[in-house]
Amino acid sequence: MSLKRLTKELKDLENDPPTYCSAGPVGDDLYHWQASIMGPPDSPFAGGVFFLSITFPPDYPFKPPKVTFETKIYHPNISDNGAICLDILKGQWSPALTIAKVLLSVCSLLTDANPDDPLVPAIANIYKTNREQYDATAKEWTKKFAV
Amino acid sequence: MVENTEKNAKKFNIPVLKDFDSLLHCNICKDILNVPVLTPCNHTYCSRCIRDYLRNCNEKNCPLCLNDLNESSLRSELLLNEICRCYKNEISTIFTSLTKKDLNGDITRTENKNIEIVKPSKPFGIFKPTSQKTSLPSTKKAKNNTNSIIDMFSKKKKQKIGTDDKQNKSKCPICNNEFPLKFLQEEHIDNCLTTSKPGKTEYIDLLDEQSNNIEAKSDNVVDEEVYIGDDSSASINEIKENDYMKSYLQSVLKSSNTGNIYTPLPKLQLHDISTSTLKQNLSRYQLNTQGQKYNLIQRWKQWDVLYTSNFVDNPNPKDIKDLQRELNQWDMLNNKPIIVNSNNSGHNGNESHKVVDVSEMFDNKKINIKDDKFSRHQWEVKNKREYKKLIIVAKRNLLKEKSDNNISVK
Repeated sequence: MSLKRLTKELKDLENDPPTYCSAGPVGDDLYHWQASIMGPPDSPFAGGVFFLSITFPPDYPFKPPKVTFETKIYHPNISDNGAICLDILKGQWSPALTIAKVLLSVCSLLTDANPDDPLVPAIANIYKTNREQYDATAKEWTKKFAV
Repeated sequence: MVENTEKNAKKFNIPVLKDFDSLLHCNICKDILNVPVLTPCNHTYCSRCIRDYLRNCNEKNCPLCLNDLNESSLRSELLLNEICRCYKNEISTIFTSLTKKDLNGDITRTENKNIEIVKPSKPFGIFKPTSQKTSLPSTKKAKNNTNSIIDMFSKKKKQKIGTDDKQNKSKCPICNNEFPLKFLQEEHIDNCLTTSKPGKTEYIDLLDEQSNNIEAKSDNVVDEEVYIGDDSSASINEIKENDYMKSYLQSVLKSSNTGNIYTPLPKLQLHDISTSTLKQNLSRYQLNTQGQKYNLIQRWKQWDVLYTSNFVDNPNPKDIKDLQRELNQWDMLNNKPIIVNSNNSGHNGNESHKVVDVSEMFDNKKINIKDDKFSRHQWEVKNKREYKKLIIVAKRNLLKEKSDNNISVK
């Protein structure tokens, strides 16, 4: 079932690709994908291109895919090693979700961080107390790692 | 196929059809619904998808709205099941006929519109041209027009009209001959009353006229080649449609008669079940009983899902042997370590069978040592002889070494 659904999702992604995102398998392995997200224009990540790696469990879509950032990013919900703190990638996963929807959620996470449930408390603190500084650092990191 | 329909939908600029297509998809497998079931929160999934999800993932909520969901509250949707089956099977035919019409310019298109206008009258049985006309000459023409259009649309309707004619025939009270009701009421009785001889000849003329018309009609159909193809395909489709209707009605009847022949699988307490009871239950359905306890439990769970979605939800259940085959396939792919097929061929034969099968598999290089599915035990069984030789050689070497050491110490 997982293979059938993955091929279907891939076809759908080709037919109408979501804005700001793209994704596809690495080589022949349909269970390992690579994705790219353009920094949303209304965020400090604008202009950057972020790469993500996606691994699907064999019982996908009943279990969520593992999505991690490969590009370094300055964000309260994304750790240094690329782990993403997003509810739908953990407890709130539903088999009705697709990888396109996950990427869209990641996109919206980039514009609206969730500092109340941080993965990097230091960044969350700055995000809460000094938004300007957060924006400046995020922009700087984007220029440095994602352009 | 689905991709085809989507492509076609784009090709023919029918976004509505694309919507229709996506409406008939399951939100879990993203395929056209296969044996759909409805949740209390009004979401529809394939029976197998949602049952698989609820059982194997220990989740008890609807994937779309995250509301609480119990497996017992799922209800199969018989009508939607038939719709999906029909759509899945017929969509390619529909599209091929669409292509034909699309290639045939504006004239056919306007005529298609005519057909669409006439079409709604069919299910209500209003279309009885002979009984509703008042003045003969003008209406006859009109009748012929509509008839010819309808004939183009389907042969079946022609038959219907024919039967209508027969039903409307009745006996003349005066001369005891049978005539169509309209003819009888409007002309014949008058003739019979006024003249001594009944108006038989007149009617024969009329009959001839009608048959001529029919011939002309069929000529029309022959002239328009487009419609010949459509005609036949339409009639074929109608037969199939009837099939779907029949199977839907039968399934409704079956479900209302509650007499479900298939008893549900026994509920097993899987967390503290003994391996022997598990095996007993598996063998009752002639399933594979090999593998570790974990494999047995997984197999039983999967069998439960397959069994329930097939025999409880599906109005046209597959044969149990197909299900067993499906389970075996699932086993090979998902249930590690590999369980070799040995469909209850007796316990004595099993061992030798197993070795042969495994060695064949290894020889055919179907299994890679690096593969996750690789089973160490079976590899050992297969290479027992080589291992024994190696052990003997190793022991000999060990002895030699010892004796060498002894000598050197001495």
